[in-house]
Amino acid sequence: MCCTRFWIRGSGTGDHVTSVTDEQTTLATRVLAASRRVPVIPLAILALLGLSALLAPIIAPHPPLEIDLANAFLPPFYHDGGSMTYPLGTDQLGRDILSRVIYGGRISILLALGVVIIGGAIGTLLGLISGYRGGATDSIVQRGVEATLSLPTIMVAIVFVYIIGQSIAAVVLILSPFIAASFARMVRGETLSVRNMQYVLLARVAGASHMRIILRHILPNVAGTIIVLATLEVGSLILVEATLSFLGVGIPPPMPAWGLMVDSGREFLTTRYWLTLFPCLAIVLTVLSINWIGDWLRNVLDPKQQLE
Amino acid sequence: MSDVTRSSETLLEVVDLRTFINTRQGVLKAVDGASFTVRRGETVGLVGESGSGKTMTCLSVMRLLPVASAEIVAGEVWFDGKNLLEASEAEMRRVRGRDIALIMQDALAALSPVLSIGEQVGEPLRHHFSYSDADVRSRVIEVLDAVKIPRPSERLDEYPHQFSGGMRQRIVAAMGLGTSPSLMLADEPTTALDVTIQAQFIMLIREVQESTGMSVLWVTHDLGVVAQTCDRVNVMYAGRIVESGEVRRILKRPLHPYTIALMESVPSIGTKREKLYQIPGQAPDLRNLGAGCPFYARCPARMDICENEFPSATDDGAGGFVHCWAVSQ
Amino acid sequence: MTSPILEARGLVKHFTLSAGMFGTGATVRAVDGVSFSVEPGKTLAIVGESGSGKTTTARLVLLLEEPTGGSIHYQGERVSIDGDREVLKRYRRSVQAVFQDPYSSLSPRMRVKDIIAEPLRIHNDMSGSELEDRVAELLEEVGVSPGRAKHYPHQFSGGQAQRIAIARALALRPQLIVLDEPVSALDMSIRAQILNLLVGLQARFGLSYLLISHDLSMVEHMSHDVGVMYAGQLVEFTDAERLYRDPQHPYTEALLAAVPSLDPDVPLGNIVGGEVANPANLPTGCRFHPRCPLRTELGSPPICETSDPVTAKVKKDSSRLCACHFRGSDRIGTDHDRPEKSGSVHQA
Repeated sequence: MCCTRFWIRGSGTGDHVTSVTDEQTTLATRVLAASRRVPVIPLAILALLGLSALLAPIIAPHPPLEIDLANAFLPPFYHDGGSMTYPLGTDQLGRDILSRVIYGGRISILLALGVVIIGGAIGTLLGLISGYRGGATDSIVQRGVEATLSLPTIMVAIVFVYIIGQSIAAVVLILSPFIAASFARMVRGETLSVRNMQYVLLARVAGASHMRIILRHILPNVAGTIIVLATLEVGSLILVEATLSFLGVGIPPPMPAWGLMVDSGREFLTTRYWLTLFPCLAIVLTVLSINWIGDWLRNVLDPKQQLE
Repeated sequence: MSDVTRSSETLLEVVDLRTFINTRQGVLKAVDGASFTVRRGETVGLVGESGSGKTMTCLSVMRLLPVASAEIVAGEVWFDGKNLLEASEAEMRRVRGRDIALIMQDALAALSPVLSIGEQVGEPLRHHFSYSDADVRSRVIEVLDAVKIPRPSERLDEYPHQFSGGMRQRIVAAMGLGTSPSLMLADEPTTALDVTIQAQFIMLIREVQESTGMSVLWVTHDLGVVAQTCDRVNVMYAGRIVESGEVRRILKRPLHPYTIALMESVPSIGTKREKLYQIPGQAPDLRNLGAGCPFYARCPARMDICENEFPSATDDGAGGFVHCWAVSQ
Repeated sequence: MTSPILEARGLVKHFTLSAGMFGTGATVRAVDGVSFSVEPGKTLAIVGESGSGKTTTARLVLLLEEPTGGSIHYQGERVSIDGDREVLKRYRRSVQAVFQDPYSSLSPRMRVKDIIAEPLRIHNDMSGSELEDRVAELLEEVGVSPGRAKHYPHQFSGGQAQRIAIARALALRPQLIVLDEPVSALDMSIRAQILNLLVGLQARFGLSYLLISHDLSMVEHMSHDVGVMYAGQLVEFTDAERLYRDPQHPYTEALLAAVPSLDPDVPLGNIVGGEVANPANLPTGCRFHPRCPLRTELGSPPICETSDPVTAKVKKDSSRLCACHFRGSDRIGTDHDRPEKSGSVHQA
């Protein structure tokens, strides 16, 4: 509808945008303004998660690998027979569920972050170059990206880890290319559209070098999308890792991993649900919160959004 | 305009229309008390810049407000004896697209890319009348011919992207004209067109008016278009009509400082000026309008009273009026 | 006569529409042999409607596209994207641009002070406080308060944003600025401000302007020389005063006749029918001939269809050009070329 933009800016570029004051310029103030809409709950959840991952050795009540068969299958504290010593109960080997959830989170997050950083950096670079240069370079990179994205991630990962052997490094190695491809595609698309923007043309007219254009014009305008994508990929990676661990090709035991915990608790689902429930809850809450935050971040990072 | 088609009968009368939009930063007064009339067979201009309220006025008449936060808070819109603001939605649907047509600036946006032009021009006919398919088709061909689309019987199955910009705008006009409306609201229909295509379009609307007696409310910012199309003109600023009158009177003897400033600031072929008159400052914030004249801050003729009290109407001696304290002295 | 600061010689730009589902493999002859020169301190306007090739011409002058043919010369030296690096660098310092939409011209994520400073940084001209001072100076020059330099473009009104774009164009003290529809996206009451600013800057700094526009009234106000483009070719070229007073080419006449006069008693002139020529599918001979009222008046002489007046005519001097067989002091078409007609023959 033609008029929805009318009262935001005017159907010509009318000179009546006078509402913005001097204060709304810095990032800090933009964040402050956006904080009116900040999704507090997911932020709190993620903060809690981050903190516990960081401070795991301090907060976790028990060492996660400590086996104590005498205390196996203890229920969570709110059942008869449970206690606050093992707040969420213990598993079949007497290991404290809470501690394992905490440590498992730590590993999951580190792995997800690692893959996103490595894959994201490579993918962004490829996307920028491919989108900016166009032509043959672009075609080659695109074919590579398309090929990678058409592969079923989980299956390829299973085969790879099976061949190489289960380890954290193996998981990181096989997942990074998929993330890289996803970033490359997204960044290329954005690069293509920014490249033809008038301000980029004017930078060329002023004599800017290609490097300068990419770093000072294209990258900042693509950054918002990259950050949102990174956030969302972290979420999906946590799920992928959980799936791989569940299938036995993810994080090698006895290291605690949420997926692994879900799998090993499976046979006791009806009788001792807590082995599976809590790691499941952890996965769900984490991924949900990450996605929520990712959306909010996108709004914060766009300077124009603040006008409304 | 031939005397046969014009009569002094009023077709549209807008009385003190107020349309406000609720925003987070306050109430935006898009239209703040606009009153004007359109007679049968007449072409009336609504001139203003962006933010003047001219588009919102058109949409208010059609009750097609663009956002949920927009609301017609006061006023009357008399069309053919009925107050449209009190009509039910069902009654409005009978009026829209049948008795009152609306065409806007961006023809490409007004046309669906996946429907043929025949289907789109025929849609209002199907909606408002119970014609048979054959009748609709022949009427569509008739209308496309009236707007000078070449070979309409062959081309009505083509799609919008197969036509040039000028032809698309004519197709949009055809969509409005099929039902023989008595009033057409044309919101900047030629702003995006090349000047020769604009001229063709102006002539076309003129021809349609001459043969059907249709009235047109022509919304534009281009005073040249006004001169060539309108019988009477209303000048809008910040949601209000500040001057109204016969087109010759307005263009040759403008009274309101804004109208004068506008005319002085626009270059026109043949009048060589060293420096164009610059209206100082910028358009007011429609959320913070006071009770006085909205042009106060930028007006070279401003007086103290202007800041606090919106001027009452002064007759211009030729059937029009102007709202300006400096003029009423 | 002083030597021109910028010269375009026989500029040609063809695009090929890729053959495929929607493309036809046709060649779009966007710019087809355009030559002109800009005098120092003067404004040359190129006017035309959509499809005329004026925007593509601007992009060629700005070296944003490589011409398919022809050349551009700056102060006598030939410039091109892959030519001499030093020459190109000098060109980049001397030729800047202001585009139609101020908001797209300014990077939304950069502060205004960085936007204006960028050309200076690119050429390593200044840094630190010297740079800050220059930015403040430029902002004042265009009428924007220097205190607002730390804001982002979207916080300014359209008119102010365009002023910022002009300030950036001035940063390197260019000799020539290409203005591509500089006020078309602005409100009426703001246009005057920007136009006055541009004229004032030209007087102050001796700037040359290459003004691209479809707004004939604005062009008359600002320009010294005017070139009229149609379907990729320059069909008329002369000084502004003469063009508006005594247009020669039938297309120029049609353009001027179509501009609605502010006087209601002056009706629209003879409106020429038809659509603008399609650059992918051009008429033979004179590109305007299918729509030309003069041709009709003369009884459709065949030369209009067979011979392209742009190439057929030998330009004696480039200060006046009229690409019509039957108009202009160097017209080729003679009475022999007109078909037999009964009744009086109208002298062109």
